[in-house]
Amino acid sequence: MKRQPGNAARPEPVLVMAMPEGGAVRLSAVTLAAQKAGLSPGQTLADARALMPDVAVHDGDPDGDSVTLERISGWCGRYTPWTAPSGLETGGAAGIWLDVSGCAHLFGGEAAMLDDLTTRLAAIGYTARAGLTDTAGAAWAAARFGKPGIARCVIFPEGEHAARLAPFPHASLRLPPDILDGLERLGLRNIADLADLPRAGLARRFGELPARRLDQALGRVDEPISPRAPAPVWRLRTAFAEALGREAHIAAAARNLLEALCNRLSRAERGARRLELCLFRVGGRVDTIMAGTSRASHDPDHLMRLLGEQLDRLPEPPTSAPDPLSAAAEAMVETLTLAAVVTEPLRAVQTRLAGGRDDDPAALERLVDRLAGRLGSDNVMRFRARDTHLPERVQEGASALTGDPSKGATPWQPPQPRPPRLLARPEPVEAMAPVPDDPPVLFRWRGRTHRITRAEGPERIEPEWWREPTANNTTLDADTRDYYRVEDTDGRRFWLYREGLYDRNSADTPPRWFLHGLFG
Amino acid sequence: MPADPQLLQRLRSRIAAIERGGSGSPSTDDYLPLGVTEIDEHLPWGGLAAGAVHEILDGDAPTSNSTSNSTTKIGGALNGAVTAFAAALAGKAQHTRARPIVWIAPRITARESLYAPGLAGFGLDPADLIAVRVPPGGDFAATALWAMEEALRAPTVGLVCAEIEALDLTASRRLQLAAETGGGLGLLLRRDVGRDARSALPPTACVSRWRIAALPGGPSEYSNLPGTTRWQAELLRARGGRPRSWQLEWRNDGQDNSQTPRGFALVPPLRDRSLPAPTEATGEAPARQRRTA
Repeated sequence: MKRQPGNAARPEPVLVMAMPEGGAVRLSAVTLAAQKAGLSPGQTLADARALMPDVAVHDGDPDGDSVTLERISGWCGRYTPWTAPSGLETGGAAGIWLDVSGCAHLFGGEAAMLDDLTTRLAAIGYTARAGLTDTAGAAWAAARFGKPGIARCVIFPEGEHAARLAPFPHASLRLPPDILDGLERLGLRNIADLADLPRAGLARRFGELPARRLDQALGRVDEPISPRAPAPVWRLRTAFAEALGREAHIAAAARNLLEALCNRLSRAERGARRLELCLFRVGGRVDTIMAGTSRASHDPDHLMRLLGEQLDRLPEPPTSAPDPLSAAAEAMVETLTLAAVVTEPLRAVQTRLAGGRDDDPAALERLVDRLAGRLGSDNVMRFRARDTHLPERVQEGASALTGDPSKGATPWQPPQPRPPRLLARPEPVEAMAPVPDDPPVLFRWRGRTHRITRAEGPERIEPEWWREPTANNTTLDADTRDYYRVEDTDGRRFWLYREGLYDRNSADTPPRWFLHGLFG
Repeated sequence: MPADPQLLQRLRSRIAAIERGGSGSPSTDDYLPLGVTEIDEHLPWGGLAAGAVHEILDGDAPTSNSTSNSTTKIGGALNGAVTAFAAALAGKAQHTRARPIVWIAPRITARESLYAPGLAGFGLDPADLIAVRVPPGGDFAATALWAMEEALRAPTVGLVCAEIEALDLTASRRLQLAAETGGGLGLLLRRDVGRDARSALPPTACVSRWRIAALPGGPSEYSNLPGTTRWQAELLRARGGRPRSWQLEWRNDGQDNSQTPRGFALVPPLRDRSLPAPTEATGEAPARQRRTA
């Protein structure tokens, strides 16, 4: 439970969270002090008030809880890339899975790592219990039902989880309340009792869940848990003895990480296409910066420019601290991780000895990367030709980051002149066309009247009837269009079309005129 | 005593090179010829100087007559004539400098976006064009200028076209400096606000300022068909040069398979432009057929 700001020094309050559930208001979470007073989750609020009239009640917020859990789960990325939030649906308190295989030695062993974890969580206002065992199921039980040793941590030595779990209650197997009640009625007290029962009878009575949970806890069957994000192969991490506050220092640290990463990438003849830099702040916040490149790169200068561009523009982190001084302390960065999320093979390139300015094909890609980094990748485009005769569908903007799409594509040269500027949505104009099937003699567009002196057309374009109408083209594809290239008295040229045909339309719905493009 | 025009030309380009902080003989890296001898010789650089930013004003009336909305502040869409002119210049740069083009436009004009088939008609190959859209927002002008600066500094860009309305002296100096260091050629497309001295756009550090407006098209076989694209190109200001005005036209805008080389040409000084003289017909694109597709 998150500490209320300013309450740190006071004794833990008797506090409960309550939510309406099944017609009654029930407690969804209670503090340790409340638990000691006999309150427990699932009780109705009325019962709780009867036990403790002065209990402080707050509204439960399951969405907020899962967001917070997700955030803490991200924060735990400082220990291992493999983390996953474990929600409330399994019963018991919510938690976070961490797969720390091969990570503990970085923190001075398993005990020291858990100590570090709970201490740091306590410092940012969360009371946490940790369990570390050979299986996920046993760890879940150990964290919630184990007898905490130092610093609220329970560690089962390797291979001993079966023996250690034996005295644990059934609730530690993540079973729903009705099964727990049933087991209780049978006089089964703990996991050892359950393990001795014949499987067939157990399954007949309670379904396969108790046996499966037991097997998972004991490691007889595998328990797959999907991590929050797949652990990347190319990932480096650095922690600072002293948290960093200045942007320049953070950038320098990121640069060091990047150089090490680029070294490893270049030795493996790979280049990064997407980088992810995570800033773990003292206050528990994690800021993530993503940078994409249009071609694989392991050039630290270039990649740093992409990251730096965003590093400069990180928003001021929101903080719960009341005064600016501790707000600044909370925003300090204590750990950085840098991962190449997407990599591609990249051969070493022979650079020219003389270094001519024309012969660096990567220079354009670097420009595109920088522009896309700041403006967003969909705002830096190359045009791609599509094989269609509908004017607005001929051209498709594709992100320039995704390589060079244009080579070998449909040629651009149209058989008829096309305007250099096209209106994304054709705009209706008031046109005066006295003779059917002739261009108008004048039209009014955006409050200005244009008298037409010369015109060419019509060029008839039929709708693509074979395409399903979609949200984008319902109106555009509706009818046959006759296009005219017209010139007004000032020499300005427009691309007009008439939608519909005279003979198909009855007299009361004359064809409408639209302006679709501006000619040179 | 009449001076040798070629000598003058060489001296001018030497001085221009010294002014830009560079040296050495001019090459296609240093200037972009328009391909019209009269204009290229009039310009002090033998064409549009590279390593510099040129301002091109849209001399036609704005496409939107609402003056109070935000498009005026951050730039609405430009007219077809100036777009075509810039596209033609960019196409020239693509060919002579053999490098891609970057075209920067505010995202708000996406409703009147560049249209690749039309650009191709003016010699700009859309395959080598990178279109950059600047999203609207508080720091719109700064972002757009930053993008143009980055593109001007990049050595592999043939020409940078940017539709930027708000431009003060400092910003234009920064752009000019970026162009000088990177050797880039920049075109700033802006709307003209007024023709008299009082309401004209304030001066900038760009090396030249042009005003492009549409002219009624060239002659065609049938008098009621639009002929070749024509512009009134006014050189309002040029560093080391004199203002002048030309009437330009675009030869072969793509729809014919004529052998006429594609490019700019001066409008032939005809008395009556609506009647093509027989001598002109060879230079003109063959008249288009009136067809129904």
